[in-house]
Amino acid sequence: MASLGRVPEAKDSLSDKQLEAIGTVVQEVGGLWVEWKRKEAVTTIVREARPAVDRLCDLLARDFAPGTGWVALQLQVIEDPLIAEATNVLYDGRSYDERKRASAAIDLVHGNRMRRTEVLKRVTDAAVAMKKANAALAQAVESSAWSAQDIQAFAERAQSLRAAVKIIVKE
Amino acid sequence: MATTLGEELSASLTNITALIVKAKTKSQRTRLTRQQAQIAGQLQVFIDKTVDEALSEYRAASSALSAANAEAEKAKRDLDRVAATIKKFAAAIDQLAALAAKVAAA
Repeated sequence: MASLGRVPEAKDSLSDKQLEAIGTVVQEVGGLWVEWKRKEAVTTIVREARPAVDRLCDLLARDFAPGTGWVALQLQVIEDPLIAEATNVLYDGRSYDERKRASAAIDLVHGNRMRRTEVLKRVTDAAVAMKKANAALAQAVESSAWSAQDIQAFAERAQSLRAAVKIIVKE
Repeated sequence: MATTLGEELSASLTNITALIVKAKTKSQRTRLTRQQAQIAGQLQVFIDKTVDEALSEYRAASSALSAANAEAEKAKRDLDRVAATIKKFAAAIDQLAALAAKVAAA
């Protein structure tokens, strides 16, 4: 270890090999200490964040629930009258162009409805999975048996939720 | 079968839309479209506000909508029942108006 070797008393009484061995031990212990502090920090974060993450997942699952969540209902309040209006124009249209536009509008609403159904399901699935992962992670942390894979699995769940929310925001 | 008022309202919108697409006459479509707009308006209220499920008007409106939805399901298979469905939805809309008045006054 270069820094210890620069201390004159150490240089005089210890051989280079001994200095190197001490340096290795100090590095290892330092590394373990950093790892331990990191683990302690992650444990604290996981423990303190669990209720908030659980609550967030519950709210997402409730609000985005296909059929009953307010997001789905809000979209339905817009979609159904649009379908009705387009249908009326299709039946009552006085020209080919008018009926053609109505037909295209119906196609568009149906397409969007299918996409809405799919996206809502992805968001609720991701929220439910993230809550499960959060519980598993918290349990693993409490039992001191958590691993990097646990954290990675949790991050992947969070990532899938982020992707789903991004789709909603975009579309 | 739907259970809450929100679910009944959602089912109503779906059923009315299906009937508008299938209706035989323009007058039926016009009446169904008007009812659909009224129900969509009521559903919007339930999205924006929390309504007390213990209110008697809530149960009456849910029950009326449930009956109308059951009739609509039959009408989707037998279009001769559309007129009866429109009547049931009209009765349900009256119940919804009573509930809306109660909610607004609270």
